[in-house]
Amino acid sequence: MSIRKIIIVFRKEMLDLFRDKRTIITSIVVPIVLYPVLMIGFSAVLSRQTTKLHEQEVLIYIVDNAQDEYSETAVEILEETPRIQFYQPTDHYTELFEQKVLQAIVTLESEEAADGYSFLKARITYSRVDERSEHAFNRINEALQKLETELIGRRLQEINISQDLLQVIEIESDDVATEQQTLGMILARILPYFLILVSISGASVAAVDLVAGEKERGTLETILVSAAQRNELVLGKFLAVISIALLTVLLNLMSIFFSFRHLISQAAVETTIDIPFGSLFLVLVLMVPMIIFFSAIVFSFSTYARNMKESYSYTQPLLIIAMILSFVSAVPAIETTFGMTLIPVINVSLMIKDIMLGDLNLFLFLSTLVSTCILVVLAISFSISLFHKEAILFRTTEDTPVKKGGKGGLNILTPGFAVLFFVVILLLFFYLGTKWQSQNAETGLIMTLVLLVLVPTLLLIKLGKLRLTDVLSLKPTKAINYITILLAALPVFFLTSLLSQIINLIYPYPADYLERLQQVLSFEGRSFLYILFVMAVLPGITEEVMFRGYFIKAFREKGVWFCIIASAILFAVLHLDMFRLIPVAVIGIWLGYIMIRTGNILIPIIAHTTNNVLAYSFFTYGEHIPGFQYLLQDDQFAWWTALPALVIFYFLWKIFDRQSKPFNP
Amino acid sequence: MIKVEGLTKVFKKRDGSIFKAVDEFSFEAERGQIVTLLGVNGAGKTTMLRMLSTVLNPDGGEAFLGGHSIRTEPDKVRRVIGFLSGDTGLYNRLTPREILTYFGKLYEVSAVEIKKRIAEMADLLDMHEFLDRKVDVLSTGMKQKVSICRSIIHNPPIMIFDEPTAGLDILTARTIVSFIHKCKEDGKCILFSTHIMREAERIADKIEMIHQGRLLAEGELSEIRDESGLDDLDDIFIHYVNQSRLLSEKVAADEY
Repeated sequence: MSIRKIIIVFRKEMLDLFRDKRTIITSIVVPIVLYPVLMIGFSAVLSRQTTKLHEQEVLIYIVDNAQDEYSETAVEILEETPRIQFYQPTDHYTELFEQKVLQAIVTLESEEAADGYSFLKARITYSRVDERSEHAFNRINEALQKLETELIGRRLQEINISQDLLQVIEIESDDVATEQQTLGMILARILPYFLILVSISGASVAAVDLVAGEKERGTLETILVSAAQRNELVLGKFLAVISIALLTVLLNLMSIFFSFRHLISQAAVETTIDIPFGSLFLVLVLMVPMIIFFSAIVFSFSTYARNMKESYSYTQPLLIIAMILSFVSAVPAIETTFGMTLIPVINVSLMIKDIMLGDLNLFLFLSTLVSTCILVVLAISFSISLFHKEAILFRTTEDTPVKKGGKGGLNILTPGFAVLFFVVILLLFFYLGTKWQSQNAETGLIMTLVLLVLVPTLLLIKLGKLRLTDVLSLKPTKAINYITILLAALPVFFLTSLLSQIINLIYPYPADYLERLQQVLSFEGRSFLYILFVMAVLPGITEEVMFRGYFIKAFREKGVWFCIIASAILFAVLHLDMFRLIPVAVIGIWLGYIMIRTGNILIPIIAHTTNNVLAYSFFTYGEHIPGFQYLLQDDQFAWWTALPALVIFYFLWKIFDRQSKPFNP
Repeated sequence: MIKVEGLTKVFKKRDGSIFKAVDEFSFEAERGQIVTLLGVNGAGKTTMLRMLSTVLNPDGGEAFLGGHSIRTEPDKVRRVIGFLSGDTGLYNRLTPREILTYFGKLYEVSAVEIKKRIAEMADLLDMHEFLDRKVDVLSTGMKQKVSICRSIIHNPPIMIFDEPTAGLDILTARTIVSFIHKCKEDGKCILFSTHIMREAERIADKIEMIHQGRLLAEGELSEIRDESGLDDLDDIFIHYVNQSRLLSEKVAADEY
């Protein structure tokens, strides 16, 4: 591989890209023009709106049921309050309020208090969602509070007590937020969001052209036949994508910064407000790996896509996901923790917010940087390896799908159909399953497993006009495998529990989550066998039929590991539990693996059931199991248990490996 | 110059079944010889040429171009071949001069040499007036000329043409054909694929008939005519296709 060739490719691609209007518009014109226009327009609209509201008169109606000295004073005070107008006497004031002619209604009542004094009760009817109505409320409220202080003073004077006695607490507000922080606050909210979006759009405008575009124009083959190596080509192109994305981000950053600064200086606050260039530099340091990461992803899309249109359509979901993730920085309650720095996009987004707010934690900054860089390495190697796959590079025509359903039935055993089916089941789980389980944990669980897992899968097989055995394969397997799998459930349970504990360290479970978990597990007055049936046997059978039966088969054409991992991920997602996502997925991979190795659905059913039996028994009867306390440490499995668990698992797996049919991915 | 020994390429279909696009194909081509790969669409011609140009990796067999193995020395193979297909394969936003310079640099031709060759070929193919205009605005004929230059910028001893005249009008197609003849005069070894029998008849020194990835018949036109006892190349082709079908049916029948 020669650096010189990479540079030749890179320079040609840059020249080519800069002659493309799309690149120029996305990367240069939009950032330079958009923000000034956007900010000026936005600030104009905003300031006009607020002044308008402040200056607007509000129309109110007073119902004076008290008709005493106090109520008369109150009415007088309100009449004198600026920008409050009274509506003429009418009986239809409620209708008028509903029609928004009136912004508020004040009902005055006289009430008796102790010691013969009476007091005035004023009820203000208004609507908080209507800004004008809220303004009316504020003005009335303020006027009446002033009146109250005055009236109290008058009463105190009657019994010869000084008015000063009322003064107990004086509140002075002293906002220490510096101008920089205030400005930073606004920038901090929007900046991550914008930067992440523009880095994707910048990267994709280049990437789409460089691979999918070459496929579409038929130039890819010519360049592959030339003396350049694939690695030189892919690196040169990749470098061009990164450069365009970087340029886009840089210009956006500059443009946001200058237009924002200009806007603030126009607002003419006494001090000159400035964001230190150091902050911008740190933001850029974070954005560079993020940009490379996105470049690698969109480059992969472009390599996989048959044409530019397809490539763009793959970018859409990425944009939406990134938008949602980067929006986290705008949520005030979310703070940057170590766990957060491990989640892609969210970490960078939060860190940029912290930098802009001027409270940067070096450790969190570094962990964000490192975790993003690890991601970058993975994404780049994936995207380069994709470029070397001829089946993908020459994926220009769609091969006809193969019919695999039963005669006359629906073609249910395809990845596309499986995903559709899963989405339906997921929605049913979300709308019905959670409702049933919150009404009654026990019957809800049974209903969910039977009606939302088992029945739909069986119906699906019926719909495909397939025999049950077509989907739930029951190939004979050696008897010893039943025993190994049964025994292996113990180390697998320990290892996944320890994995859960690690995750708990990074993303601590909220207290109410643990409480909910306890509730599900309590079966008062039920026999042990019944509980085992509901908690272990039923999920074992129903979930395995769906995931290791149907899903693994539907994804089989995509490759062995693909079907194992995809079915495991769906399995984990359907548990609708963010905190257990990874451990459940790991168990799912194990179950899928033993399914593929044996071809017998009973094997994963046994493993799944045993796992649930173990989980239930340990959590419920833990302290009664002899010797159990030695395995624990601070209510958790001790970390050393990982070692024997791994050793036992390894030996059992070796036995299983020898006794099962060979595994060829 | 080209030596192909039992080359095989297998594609996996979506249902997991396999499909042999090229099936143990062997042939040879000499210096100054035009060898035509003749077959219908989907016969495996493009797959064969892609393997020879090292874009696809073979699943079996071996081939040597200019003495270099396509398996172990793909980089060296790409240096000794020029590749041209019916798709012009040019970058629309660049000018012919930029494209030619780019490819020349990739082949490590020196800047001086690149300039010299561009000038030479521009004289030869009458390209001076559009050398610095963007490809976007060029006519098909002009583009084809640029493509020809691109394929030969590094002066390769072997030329591979994948259906170079497909979709071209008569005039442009003639430019290509005369270019092929020019290459022959220069002593290059030429491999050329087509599904047009007349084209093969007209320019081939040697014909390799390919059908369903397999070699149907080979030899000079006169030899094939003698062997089949037919005169028209269309008839000859159909004759061999039928023969191979009968053969494969027999094989299938024997198996039962």
